[in-house]
Amino acid sequence: MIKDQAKLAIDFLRSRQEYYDLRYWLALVSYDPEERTVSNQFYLLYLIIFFTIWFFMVLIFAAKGVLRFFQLASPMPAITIVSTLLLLSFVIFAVFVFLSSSLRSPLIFTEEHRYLLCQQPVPSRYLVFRWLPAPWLQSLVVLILICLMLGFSLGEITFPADDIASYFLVYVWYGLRVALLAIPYHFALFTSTWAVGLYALRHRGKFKAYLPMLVLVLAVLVLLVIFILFAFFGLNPTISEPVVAVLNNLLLSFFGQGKYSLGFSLMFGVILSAISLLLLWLTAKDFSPAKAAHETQTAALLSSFVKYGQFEAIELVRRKRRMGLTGKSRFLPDWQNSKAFAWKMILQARRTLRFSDFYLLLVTFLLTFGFQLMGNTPAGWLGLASWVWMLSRHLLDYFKQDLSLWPLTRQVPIPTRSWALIDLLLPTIPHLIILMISLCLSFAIFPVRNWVFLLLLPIGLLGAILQLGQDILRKTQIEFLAMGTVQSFGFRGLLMAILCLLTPLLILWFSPGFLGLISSVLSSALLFWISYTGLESQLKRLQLGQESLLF
Amino acid sequence: MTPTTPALQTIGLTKKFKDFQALYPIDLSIAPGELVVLQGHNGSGKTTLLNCISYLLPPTTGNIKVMGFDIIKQEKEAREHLAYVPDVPRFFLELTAWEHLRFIAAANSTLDGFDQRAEKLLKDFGLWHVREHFPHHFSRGMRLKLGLLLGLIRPSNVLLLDEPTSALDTQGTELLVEELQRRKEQGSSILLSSHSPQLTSQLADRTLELVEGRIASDSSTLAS
Repeated sequence: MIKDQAKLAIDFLRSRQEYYDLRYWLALVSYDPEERTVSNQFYLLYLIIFFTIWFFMVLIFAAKGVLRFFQLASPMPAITIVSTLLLLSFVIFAVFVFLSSSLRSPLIFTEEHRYLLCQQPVPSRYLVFRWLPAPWLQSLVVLILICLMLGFSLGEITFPADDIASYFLVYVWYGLRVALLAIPYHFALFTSTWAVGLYALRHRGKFKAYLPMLVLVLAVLVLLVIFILFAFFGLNPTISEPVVAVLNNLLLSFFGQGKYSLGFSLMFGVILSAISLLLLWLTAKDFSPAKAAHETQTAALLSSFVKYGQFEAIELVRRKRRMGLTGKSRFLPDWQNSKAFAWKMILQARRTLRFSDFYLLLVTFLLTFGFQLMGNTPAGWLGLASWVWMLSRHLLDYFKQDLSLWPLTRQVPIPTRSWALIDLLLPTIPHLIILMISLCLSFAIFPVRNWVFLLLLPIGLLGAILQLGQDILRKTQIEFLAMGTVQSFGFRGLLMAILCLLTPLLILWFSPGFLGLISSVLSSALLFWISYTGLESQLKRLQLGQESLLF
Repeated sequence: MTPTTPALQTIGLTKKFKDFQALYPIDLSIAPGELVVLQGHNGSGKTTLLNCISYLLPPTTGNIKVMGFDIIKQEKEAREHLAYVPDVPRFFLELTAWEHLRFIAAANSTLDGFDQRAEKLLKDFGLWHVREHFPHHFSRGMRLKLGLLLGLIRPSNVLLLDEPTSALDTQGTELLVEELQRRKEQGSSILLSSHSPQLTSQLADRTLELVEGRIASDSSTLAS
């Protein structure tokens, strides 16, 4: 009786979550299942028809892309390529899911689950099986799309291009058959990864926890290798012959070929699913929700951030994880007063240095090099505008963090303007250096030399960063700042920043002579000055607690 | 500054959030070496008053003087004498506890003798063993202690503390009382908000009761 009540409670909780998850995704297309009007029912019908056609068109378009790949590998039969691609998709999926579900619990619980659900004496098996459907369906969607696309690709080859309309239903069946057959196999694979994951959770910290995962990952990789050897090189050692025969016929049956019928392959998949379910049933007996919640709290948090597009919060969680528990203080110069901010920033940069920082420097190099090569043209401006956009997402991090720590940074007897300028301009210096190197290198290599870029691009970039800083301040209110809340820059700020960089170049383009040269340099300096004074006035406004006068 | 100049003075200080009047004109004067405890119910305006005095929130009207310096007109000079410890301290993500202290000392140009001061404070408050840890891994009490140390690491004539004992253990509270007593004897003026009767009875020269943004009573515990 008590067990039944617990099952009802789990069922109630999970079904509410699934329903609200579904509502969230439906809200993205402005459909509310709570609204019970006729027009809303028609809207749902419209959505189903629209997205079915849309997906169909996209998949056919993608299938045509795969077709080109077939043409590149023309000596190979198309059926061999699609079979291999299907197997490859399954193997990549299997390796990824086996690894992720073994390294942390496959059942993901949030902070709320941890305290409200995982501490209760709930029946573990029922919990596992009730938690299974939603993640399985989410994971199935991607594979189904791949299967449909592969089926359509084969249809594109099989039927004459001009006459596909006559075979339309058969063409659609080519895709649907692969998708239909994939379902039980995907379910079997997904369920077995959960079984392996629960086993790993139970024996966490011991080598045997990861043994099933290693064996299965190895097995699927070996399957892939022996199939490729057989399909592409005709190698089929006696030892692997029976396995290859089954695998080959199974894969061919997805595309209506080989010895196995659709019903046989479907039945085979169902049997595999039943075995996986049995394995899961056995491993779920000793499942500990509390242990799983402890492991998956961060994963749940990250997935909720992803769902709501909170990418800054994701970055923060990842940064904390990367930094670990402790840090050694090796760089301790006697820099005092406003130089303390520079020291702090160097320390922060060293602690959070990662590949993307170097990637951004490479972007600076390539874009400015390319701009010099292309000359002052609209295509070049587009490149520079995207450059400002890419840099803006990283170069303002220190400024935003110092603003968010207003009770700490505001208290020091250093003018806010001083540390604001350090925060904004210091991270820009490596990009300025790379920019200069890139321009000088392009001058050395190519005969076309626009020396004025050496002046316009650095001043423009500095002006752009100050504009973005100004926009952050414009959108910030002192009351929120005191609580540590900082807004990011808006579209207006980004637009102004891009204009700071591009306006002098536009002037130079319209008037390429000496007068244009002087005007562009003067306008560049003027825009920098406007950005600087704008930043200063926004800082003053903020300190005095006034509302922004800018739109 | 003449001997009669208060260490901290507010004249007609008010704060209004849109239509909500959080603080009505507040005239407050704290003498050098005096410790004043600010009391009041939740939402009475204690944190807002401390935020305004430290000029983290600009007051709507009124003047604030720290050691005779107007914080609005002579901000740098006033800030050199003022330290504020908020009730929920926040920290840089990438800096360890030790580096936080060093940053505050360096920004206040007080790096001379920093190592000895920091070591003593960290040992006294039981944070020495976690000096190289990032504060986002700290417990609430440890974070509060580090926040206190950021206020104590540099010399200051006026110290503002917002509910400093709210998450401290008994030992931590005793250490804080000792430290505040010592600072008081050295001539520092302290204004702290607290709900702790123990802290008030042990330290307060004067208590102020804030009710709905107004000073409802001003008493001297020493006199009583």
